[in-house]
Amino acid sequence: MMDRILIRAILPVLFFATLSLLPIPALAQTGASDLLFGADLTIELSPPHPSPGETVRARAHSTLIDLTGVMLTWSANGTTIARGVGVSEASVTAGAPGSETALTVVVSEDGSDIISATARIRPVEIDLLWESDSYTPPFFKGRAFPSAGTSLHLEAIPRFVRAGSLVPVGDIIFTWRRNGYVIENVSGRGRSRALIESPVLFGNDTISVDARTADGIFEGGASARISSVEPRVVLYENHPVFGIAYHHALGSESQIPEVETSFSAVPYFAEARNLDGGALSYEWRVNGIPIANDPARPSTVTISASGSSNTALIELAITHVTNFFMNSFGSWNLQFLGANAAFGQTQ
Amino acid sequence: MKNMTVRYLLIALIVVILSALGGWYIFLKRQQAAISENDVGRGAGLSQPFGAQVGSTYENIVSSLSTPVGGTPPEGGGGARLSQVGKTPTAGYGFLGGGPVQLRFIERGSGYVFDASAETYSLERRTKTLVPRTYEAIVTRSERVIMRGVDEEGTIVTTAGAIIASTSTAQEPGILSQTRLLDDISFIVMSPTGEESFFIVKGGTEASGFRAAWDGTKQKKVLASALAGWQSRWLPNDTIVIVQNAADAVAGSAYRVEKNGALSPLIRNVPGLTFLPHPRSSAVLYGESAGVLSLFARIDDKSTSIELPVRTIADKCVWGPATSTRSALIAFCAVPQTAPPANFLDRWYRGEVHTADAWWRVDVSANSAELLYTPGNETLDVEDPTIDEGGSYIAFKNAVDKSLWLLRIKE
Repeated sequence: MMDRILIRAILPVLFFATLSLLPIPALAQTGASDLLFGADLTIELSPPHPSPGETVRARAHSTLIDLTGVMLTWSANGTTIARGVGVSEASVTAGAPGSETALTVVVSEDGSDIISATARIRPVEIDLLWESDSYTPPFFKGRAFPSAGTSLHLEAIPRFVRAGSLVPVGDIIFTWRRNGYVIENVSGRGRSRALIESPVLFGNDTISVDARTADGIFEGGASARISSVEPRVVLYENHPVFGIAYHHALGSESQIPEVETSFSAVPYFAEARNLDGGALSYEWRVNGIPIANDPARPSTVTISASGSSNTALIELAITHVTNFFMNSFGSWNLQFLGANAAFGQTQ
Repeated sequence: MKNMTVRYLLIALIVVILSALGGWYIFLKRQQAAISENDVGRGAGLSQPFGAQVGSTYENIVSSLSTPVGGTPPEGGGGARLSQVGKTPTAGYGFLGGGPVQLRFIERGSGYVFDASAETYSLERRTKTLVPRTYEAIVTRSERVIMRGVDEEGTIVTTAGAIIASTSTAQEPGILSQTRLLDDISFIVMSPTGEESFFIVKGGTEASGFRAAWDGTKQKKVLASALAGWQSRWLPNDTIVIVQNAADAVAGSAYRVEKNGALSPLIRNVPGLTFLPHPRSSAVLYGESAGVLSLFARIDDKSTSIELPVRTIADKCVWGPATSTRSALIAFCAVPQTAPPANFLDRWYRGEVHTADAWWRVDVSANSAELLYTPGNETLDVEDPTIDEGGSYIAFKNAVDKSLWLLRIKE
């Protein structure tokens, strides 16, 4: 008899001691009030760090009480939101930034409260923004994608509201991860920005950031799956008056309404700061014949169809002088019509 | 006898001289024919590669502005429903405030500033200062413009310009005084009054956003970001909005830049986000590009988003005349008449694909849309639409060739 009493007394102590050592963030916000010695009750929140206005699903757990046979009463900030026998789940909407919702569940049997637990929902927002430092032409409105050899610029924007004010970024601890592994050299207090290597060639990395205040009251995270792309070579007409026609990429079969035209190649997302800075090596071929680059503008080639068949197969291979992963190629079959037409209206 | 000899000698000399001159004349004529032949062979005498014989883009603009597209002008004036303001590429444009509807625009090739009347089609060249290869330009309601180009090293050059009218009595174009701003400004926007600018410039591993006077003086850093790829709008209530550069199926967000540099979210984590805030209310239009195009609207900060019955991107939309009343939340959107291809947004930004759009009037409050105008055989890939204060005209660029167009909204 004494043994059984001892076991009943020791087992819960051992259980809670073990539980307290486990890092379970979703449960960390809960606090149980034990009205029956030895009982346990926890609340699991999903998502664990909700955004303002987000619906939060709460689920009660107990290892020693069969929750399916007892009365559970859920309340949010004192207002009952769900009640019934075996109602172990409830939903609540997270409040505005800076708000706190006390979500309480009370387990009762035969009219007597056995145990209760409370979780505090403090909605947080964290945005994870990214772009690459890969090459894009001037005035380009699209996102710069990463390619092998480039870098990723990352920024986490947390919104932790305490007493009506945003918690300064300098008071927040950021932990950056690549595929789950901590990136130590960019993590730390106030380090909301990170500059890291892009995923390897054809690679996909999950970049995540966790942010928390030193006191642990506010905590949240965000992640993004980022893929490396192969640089894409696009050819444009380079008009003597209007400049490069970035608005009209030449297709693989194009007609040029001129006899002589200059063309500029743009290697989108390549590892380069500018087109003609020396980092990129251009190998042009016209109808299979290699042609010499203009040393000042190797990204541009001028083709004259005067006295020829008016067709030209332009091939271009672009490599990087130090990045051996970069090897882009493009080919365009151009027909020079020699007639007058408006700028950028190749057919 | 001696006199006779002299006379014969003189006659002989004259004959020799005349023969020599005749031979020289024949020689020269043959040479001239050869030169003319060479000239023809080199293309002399052919018409200009673009524009008229006089070589003036001015004339191109006049001729095209007076040429209605898609129908004849209605009786009693009012002009054509759709007009091509300029055949050559346009760097930037905007409506001028007050009085008759006037559209100011800047040629890409010359950098000349023009004013066109939407109602009378009259055209005036305002500047004679040549600024070649002006890729982008911003027109303000004052006499100030921003012009952007690229120098030989590939550096983005941004200049603030002021139109200085000619002092002569003749109506000749004035000059454009220019002040060079910081190099490599990735994006710049002017305040609605034209007195200030907000620009983003990349330095090292960080990008900075500066608020400054129109000519770049009095710079104050108001934004620090790891990212340089932002688009921006400056609303009449002095709010600066920034939007991440978009990509298909990649999450993007839009923020309001607070006075202290903090970013308050307006829209978060929308794939392929394009964004258009209402100038005078908290309503927003935003597009999602993830496989298909979807356009959404949110009436205010507290409302949930609604999907609008047109499939396009916010870059092809413009809000109707600014008002704060909910009943007047009207947007005009250019909508592709056929479904765009996969990865449309990425490819559109690179100039790889174009759409053929029709104009729709979208009643955001009622979540309904009606066809406004179909351009018939014209292929119009609308970008950068802007509307005049009275809500009568929409000016836009055709992304196919960067030409400038004007649409009269009312039939």
